[in-house]
Amino acid sequence: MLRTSSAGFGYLAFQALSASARANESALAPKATHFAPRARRVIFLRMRGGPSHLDTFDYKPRLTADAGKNSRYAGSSLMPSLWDFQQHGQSGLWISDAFPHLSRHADDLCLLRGMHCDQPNHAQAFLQMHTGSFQFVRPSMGAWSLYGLGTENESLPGFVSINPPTSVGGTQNFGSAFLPAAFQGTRLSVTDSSQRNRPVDRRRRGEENNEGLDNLRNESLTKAQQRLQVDLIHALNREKLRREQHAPLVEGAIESYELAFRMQDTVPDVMDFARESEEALALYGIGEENTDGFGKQCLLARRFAESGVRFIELGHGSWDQHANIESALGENCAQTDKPIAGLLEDLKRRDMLKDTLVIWGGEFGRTPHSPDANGRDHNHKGYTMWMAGGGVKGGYSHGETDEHGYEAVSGKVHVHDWHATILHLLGLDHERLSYRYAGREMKLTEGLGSVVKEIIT
Amino acid sequence: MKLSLHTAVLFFPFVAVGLAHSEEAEGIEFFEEKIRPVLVKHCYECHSVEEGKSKGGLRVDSMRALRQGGDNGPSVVPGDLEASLLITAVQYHDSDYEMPPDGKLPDEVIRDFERWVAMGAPDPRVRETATPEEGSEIDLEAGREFWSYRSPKRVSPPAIENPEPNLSPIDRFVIAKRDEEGLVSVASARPETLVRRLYFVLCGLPPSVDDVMKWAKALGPDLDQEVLAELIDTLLASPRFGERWGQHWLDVARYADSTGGDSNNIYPNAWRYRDYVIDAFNEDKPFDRFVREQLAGDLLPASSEKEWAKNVVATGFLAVGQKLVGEVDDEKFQYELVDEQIDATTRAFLGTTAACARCHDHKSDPIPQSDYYAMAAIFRNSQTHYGLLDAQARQSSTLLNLTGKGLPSGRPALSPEAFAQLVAERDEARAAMDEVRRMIRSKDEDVSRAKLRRSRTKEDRTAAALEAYDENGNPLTWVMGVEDREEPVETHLLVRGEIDKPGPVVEPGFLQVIGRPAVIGENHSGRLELADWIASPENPLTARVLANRIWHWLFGQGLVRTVDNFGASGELPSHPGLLDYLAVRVVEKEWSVKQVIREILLTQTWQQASTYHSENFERDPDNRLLWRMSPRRLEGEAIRDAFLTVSGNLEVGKPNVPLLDAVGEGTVGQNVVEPEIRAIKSNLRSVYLPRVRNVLPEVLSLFDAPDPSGVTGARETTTVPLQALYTLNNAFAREQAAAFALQVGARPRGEQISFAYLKAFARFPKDREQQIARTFFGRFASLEGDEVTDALTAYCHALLCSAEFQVLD
Repeated sequence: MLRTSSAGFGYLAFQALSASARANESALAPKATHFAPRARRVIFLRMRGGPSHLDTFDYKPRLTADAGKNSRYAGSSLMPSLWDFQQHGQSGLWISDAFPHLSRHADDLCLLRGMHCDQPNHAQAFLQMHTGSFQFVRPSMGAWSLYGLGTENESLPGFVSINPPTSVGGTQNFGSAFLPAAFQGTRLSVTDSSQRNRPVDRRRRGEENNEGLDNLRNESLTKAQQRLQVDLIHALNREKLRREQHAPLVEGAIESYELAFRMQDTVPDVMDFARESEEALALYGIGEENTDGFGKQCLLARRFAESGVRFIELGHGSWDQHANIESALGENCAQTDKPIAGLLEDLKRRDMLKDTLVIWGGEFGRTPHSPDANGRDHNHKGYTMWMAGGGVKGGYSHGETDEHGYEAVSGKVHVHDWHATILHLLGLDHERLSYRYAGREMKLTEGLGSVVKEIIT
Repeated sequence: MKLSLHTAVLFFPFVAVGLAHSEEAEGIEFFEEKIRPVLVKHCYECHSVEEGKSKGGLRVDSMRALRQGGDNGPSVVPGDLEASLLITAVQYHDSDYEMPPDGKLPDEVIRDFERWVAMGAPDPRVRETATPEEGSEIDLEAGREFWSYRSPKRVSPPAIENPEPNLSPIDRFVIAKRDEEGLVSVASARPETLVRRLYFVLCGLPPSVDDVMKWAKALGPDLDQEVLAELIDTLLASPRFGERWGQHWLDVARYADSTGGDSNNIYPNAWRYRDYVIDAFNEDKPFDRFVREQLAGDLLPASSEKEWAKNVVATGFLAVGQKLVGEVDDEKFQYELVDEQIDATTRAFLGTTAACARCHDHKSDPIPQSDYYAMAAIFRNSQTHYGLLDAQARQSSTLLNLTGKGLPSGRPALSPEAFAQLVAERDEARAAMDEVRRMIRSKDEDVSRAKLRRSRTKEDRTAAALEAYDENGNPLTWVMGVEDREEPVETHLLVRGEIDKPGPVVEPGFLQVIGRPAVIGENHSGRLELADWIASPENPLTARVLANRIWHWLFGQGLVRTVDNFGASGELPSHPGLLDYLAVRVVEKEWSVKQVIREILLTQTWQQASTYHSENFERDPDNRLLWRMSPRRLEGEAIRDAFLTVSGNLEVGKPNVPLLDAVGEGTVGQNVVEPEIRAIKSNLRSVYLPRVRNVLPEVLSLFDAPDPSGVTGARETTTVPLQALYTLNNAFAREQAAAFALQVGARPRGEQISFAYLKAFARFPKDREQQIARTFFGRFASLEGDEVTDALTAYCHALLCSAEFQVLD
């Protein structure tokens, strides 16, 4: 005898069941942190390609003064920033004119100007930024975060990555490697038409045609029919469960089918901006040709953050300006400046910035010298990333590169330190957040990093 | 580009390549005073590790790198000014090669360089032979006492109280342990459950309705063991067996159709190794032979060219691993390649993580660092052929041409038109590339790197497409695999694993803690001896690791659950005596995998039901003591194949043409696009689908197929909502459900639910389940809906989404 009554029953039955299933089984259940968290979630603004620190956040008057002189490497001369720098806010942080909107949030930004990593090649540096390792397949920092924290919303995945590149390590950058797959990032696509990529480039990256998430719509059944179908699946599974008394695989199936069914509504719901005000859309630059694409990503990030998603990664790039730096970097900044400023403003208005850690940066920075005064090469020895909100000092600058910006000389922050700090702000000790695999206790930082205490409020 | 004969040679009559000791010291002094400062000042910026650059593929910051040279060949050939491109470049005689780019060096500096090369280019930048910081503290004698390094002993099964008749030795081991712990056995499985379990475990497919009816009836409630043996033999003889068990081994062999890594290049010919593995399991190739062929097939005696060619295909095992083909440094790449081979070989066959001893002695196992380099010496003496286009991979290699040796070509012959088309494409691409070269030389027009790479790729790709055929359009047989190098190379122990810290020379050898010591013939690479050592019945690990893998594949978990790690950081066996018994049986049965499977299946232990038992569960939730059959979720391959089986859409057999041929060669994300790989549709079994690293078929990656970056003897099982979204909504799932429903709908109305249950679950529905179906149809009918969707399809689809369909009891 089946007691299905249209939409309600399956859901209630699920709740009753999932309560017990969760107690024993769900890897995603919220977990206690090691100490009080400063941030409850992370929004990572991934600037692929290696944005120039020298033209954005690392003011080098000496580089301007020495423009055209031989660099420390023969065959190239020092190239000044093509943008002027001004001091902004109470703090007087130096930011280049390439970011007029973001500059107004100078007092929220915590610049890490002594970043460095181990490899000057895109793929390896990009992988190291995401997983800590450029050699081995390791879980991504989003997966580690979710593993450490558990999820806050049972109707949405806990880690989403918007438009991740398929090159430079591909799925590893949001993968869970040896951690259970429940912690892997869910890949979402958002059409970013502001990036002037030809369609063929988007197709290469696999970004064509699939807005959002795959398999989110059923083309054969109406919602009511599918509700009935999912209830039928639950009924079949409950019959099996009833016969077997204890069957974690069956309980897990019930839980995941119900979440899947709900995600069909919640994911498009989060992605639907219909109820956002005109003013909110304008804040992010949505509707403007240049900023529409990244603006949508940023607004989506806020909506996921509001919905309890733990780790949200979104991206822009490429910032790989070996040539045409003036136009190309200028364009990148113009496309992202207003959306990022809008995101910070919006989070503040909603009082969410205090416990949302926003991070900006790419896999490395660029050289102070140039072979032809037209572009800059890769520089992994010194570059800038920034953080905002989530327990870090605003209007603060940590670390320095030398007078020309070749390499970090003080307040150096290696990618391992950066990871340790992110986990720390989430309330997790990078030395204790471990997973036993291949006979070893594996960690995001491999025990190598240390928390940058100076930047924490 | 030709050098004018330079007079430098005349100035220095002592053109001696090998220098005596005092001369060596002088030469090095000369280097330090005159050469190194210039290299650092003028060259390192674009050509050094320090700066992370190697323009033109060249680095000048070590002797090795300088002599290896860049894209255009060796930079420095000791004693040979004409062949040394470095000299050409600094002389500024050839406008294509002028270095440094910002201006010619002073003449006296140029003469210093000429003199230095003429002296034999003495260069201390690796001579600093490093010494290991401390000697190994590993006590091998003590290490040999560890359980897995001791030879398996034939142990008699323990005595048990009140034994039932017909218990096998395996059962006695299991029952004795259970009795000891006070656990009770659950009942035997029902016949239809056992039939379904056997079909999936042996062939990876559900039984047909007729098969269920026939065999379940013949088995009867008492499970007639003669009937069961007949069924087992039938399934072991089916070609589907090799497809199922071949996939198991392909997981272990980290098989894939691309390099993965930083620059993911397609391997267009990896499928030969895959098919070899499938055939090997179908033929029941003795496992010791299987080991030898995969590690040293090229070196084994063969009675015919065809047999030899097949053996060479087997060495694809060493070639299909993940590679970082964007690596600039050739020697570093070779070390990485060899490291990957050591890791795969030791974990796959020996359950040993020898690759952990690359930088230091193994942290938990008695494997000194020198053992690692002894194995490295063996693999470094072999050359690995894996193909790839030059323009797409810094580290490309050749393939072995085994045309005319009796291997199936795998591809149909080309029509004259198609062949002419390929020729035309190649010529066009070549002409275009010639034009680009001309533009670069003339410096009239700027040629972007992207354009250069595109043109080179096209030239390479069209040439490679043509090289797959002879001049008559008949397919050639290109094979991935290994062969010995003509000249052995020296292998040094690398201090802390660092390539520029070579320590003492290490001779080829094996892991000293295991089995007998290495005896390697004069002028041998040692690979054949390594294969023999692993495949020997005296090796304490090989048969044990295999027996445990077979157990894992039959039960879902091994007696040692860390199936790839039998070292100290792995798990101890739950039933050491039983594992030893099985290892001994492997050898007694002449390494026949099928015979060992048969013996295990014909035990009470394997035929138990999966019934829950609360007291047992309380004491042993993981079922380590085998008080029941653990239920398990089917693998992605089996789920997809089962969808295709119930829908009637499954195509049996191998692909006529490799499925990946549809996308061509090159780098994924560059000239091979991911959506095109994903668009490859096929109703063949999942084992034949393209396994491009990072681009696994959606259904397989959702259902936990490993990304084949390393040996994966035991898969993860996850249950995540994206799987549910796939089975609920994906077109593939809906199409199979619709085809399934058509068959169900063709039955008389009263039989439909029973037929659907038999097909999906291999059993009849219970009354409650009939009632659930009726209620569903009633409610569905009351809903407004799309007319094309009928209730029966929605119902059949639900069966395929249910846990029972995807779980094996």
